[in-house]
Amino acid sequence: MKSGWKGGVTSSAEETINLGKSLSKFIEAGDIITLEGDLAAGKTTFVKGILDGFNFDRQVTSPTFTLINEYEAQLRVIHMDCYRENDLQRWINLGIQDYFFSDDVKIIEWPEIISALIPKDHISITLKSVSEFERKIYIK
Amino acid sequence: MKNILAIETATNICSISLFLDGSFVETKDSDEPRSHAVKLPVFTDELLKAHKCKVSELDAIAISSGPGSYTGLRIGMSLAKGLALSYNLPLLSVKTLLAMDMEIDIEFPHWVCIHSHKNMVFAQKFNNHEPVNDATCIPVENLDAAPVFGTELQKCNIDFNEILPSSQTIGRFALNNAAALAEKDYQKVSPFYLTEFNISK
Repeated sequence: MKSGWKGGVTSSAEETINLGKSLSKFIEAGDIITLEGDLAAGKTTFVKGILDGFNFDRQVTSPTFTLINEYEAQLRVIHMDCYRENDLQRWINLGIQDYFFSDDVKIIEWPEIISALIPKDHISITLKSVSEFERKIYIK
Repeated sequence: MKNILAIETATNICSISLFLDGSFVETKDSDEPRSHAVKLPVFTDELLKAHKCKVSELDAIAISSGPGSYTGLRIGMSLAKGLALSYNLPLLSVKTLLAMDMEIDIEFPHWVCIHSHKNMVFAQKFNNHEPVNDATCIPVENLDAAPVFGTELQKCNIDFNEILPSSQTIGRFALNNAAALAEKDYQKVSPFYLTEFNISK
């Protein structure tokens, strides 16, 4: 990923989308981005913003149940959610290595669940609630 | 063994070939990325029907065992085992780089490579169609000055001669080495991943 993205504090879903959109300008093919944050921290909303930045104008939904959503955007984006699957072997069987080896952009929610599988050279982004409506979103 | 179906799915190429009476008949293939799961069963069905051949009339299934794409190898191996199991046919498992080397007609040491990821390549050195070392996954800069043959290496910024994996080559290699390769204990046949996933605790 290109350097220079500063993160920020958002106080609405729209602002979170805009911050995600700003991040997309720095993302490069092959990047692995992890998103850490509590339930309802705005992770999927942030991903919507990233995809908006890649001119993807169709629906973006949480992959909590599908585990992996693939989006044919300006860059191909692989959106994973590890929340409900902690069996590392199942992720391996799904072909996660091929995703990691590819030029696709990988965005991973709940990465701590499969941290043993994630290459060390990933970009780690945290979404932290700082008040009832405010989120601080930054590179760790 | 004269009638075999040969499968190659180690890279973006999804390829299947039919050999009848020991002779090559036809190949169906596609280089559309990530399409193996959709295309391979359809190609198989079309190929067998086009030549009025039933799976029961085959003598063996030949499969490219890798190294290569984790998902591609699993899709090819799944179909190969499924077909073999249904009629108790032997599997003929062929190392992908070894088969690719059959297509190279030079008499001095050279590398056969498949791009893995980033600057990493699956690589094996051959001389006169004999392996000089074991297949390995190494940074491309670790290749010595010997000429490089292979596929998907454009990203590595090296000079290379393109050799594409092909089910036809897999089939030919399998037919020539059928007695040594034939295996009916299917559990002994598995993809040759080379880069097993390292789970770091």
